[in-house]
Amino acid sequence: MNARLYLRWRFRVEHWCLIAAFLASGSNVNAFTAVRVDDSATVVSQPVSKMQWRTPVPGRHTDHVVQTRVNVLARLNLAAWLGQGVRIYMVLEPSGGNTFTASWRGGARLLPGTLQSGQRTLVFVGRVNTAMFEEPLVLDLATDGRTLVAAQSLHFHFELEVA
Amino acid sequence: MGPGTWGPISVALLAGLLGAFAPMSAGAYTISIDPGTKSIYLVVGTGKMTGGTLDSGGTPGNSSVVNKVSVTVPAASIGSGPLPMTTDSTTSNSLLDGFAYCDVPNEVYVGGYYRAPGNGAGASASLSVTSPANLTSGGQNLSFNSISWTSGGNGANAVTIPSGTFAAGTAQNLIAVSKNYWFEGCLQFFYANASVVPAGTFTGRVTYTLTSP
Repeated sequence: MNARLYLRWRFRVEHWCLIAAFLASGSNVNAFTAVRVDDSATVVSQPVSKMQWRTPVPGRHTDHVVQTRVNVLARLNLAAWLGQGVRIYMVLEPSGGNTFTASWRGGARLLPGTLQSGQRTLVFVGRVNTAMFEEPLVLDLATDGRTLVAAQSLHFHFELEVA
Repeated sequence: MGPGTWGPISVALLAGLLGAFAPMSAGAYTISIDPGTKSIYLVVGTGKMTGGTLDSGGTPGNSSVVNKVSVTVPAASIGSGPLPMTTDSTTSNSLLDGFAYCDVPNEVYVGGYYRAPGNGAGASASLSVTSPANLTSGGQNLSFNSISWTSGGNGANAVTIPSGTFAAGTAQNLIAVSKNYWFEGCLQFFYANASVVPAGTFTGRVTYTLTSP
């Protein structure tokens, strides 16, 4: 190897090391490459949902969960990924002092799942074959009613990774 | 690929990776929620519960029954000191779990709850009792403060309603009922029998009230 070729090779190795270090700097590589999807066309069935006690009477063996059910028509603009294989996650953003659990049944294309505040869960794996992905969701929301003392807004969004 | 072409490809790859971090659109959908609803329940004596105990999924209802507590003072005992009273309530088992809690006919069962968002002191419900000034028999009066009670319950770890005496003619607070807990107690009433009163049947009604904030 002559000196010129050696320098090029060395630079090449250092460059890839830099990229590797860049990729490894995040605790979760998948999260690092996730793209937030435009779901601004999504529709929620009711503007405000009243939480109900799962067990209306407090007792020794009853819980203090409050819950509600909300219908959501998820509309995701996937035009940029037409024809590509993707993974789509639903994210429930952190919600103040309360930890909420959201669970849903799967629709025609979305997977069933559960997630808590601050988490994301896989809801779709496959090839994108429509620019506007539209799917109804029946969301069951629950939290500890003893700590939920004021109205709150729960923010959901979708993240996409190219498979 | 020759050795001279790797640099641009690597840079392009890096740029592609960087581009992936930029959000294409900051969409999100929002669900607004309100806290749980409030509810309150109080039973004194004979209550109404359908479908078993509360712990087994029973549902509390409204009862129109107004129970009585009474005592007959033997002529030989008039003015000779406290006498226990008995009740016509037959509720002896806890409405919460069916435990044999009160001794009937000596004790009156009292229980209830305040269901509301949040926890802790400062926002409790208040249990109070209001008594008229007197028990009456025709034109004769007997002050309601001649009736007192002791509080207990079989196997009770703590007395939830303190023992006391009716404050004749006024409302008196008994306990603060914490949110999201079932409280209960058994009350044994006594007639003070401290003085000689005219013969007759003296009656009066007290009312227990659970008030939420």
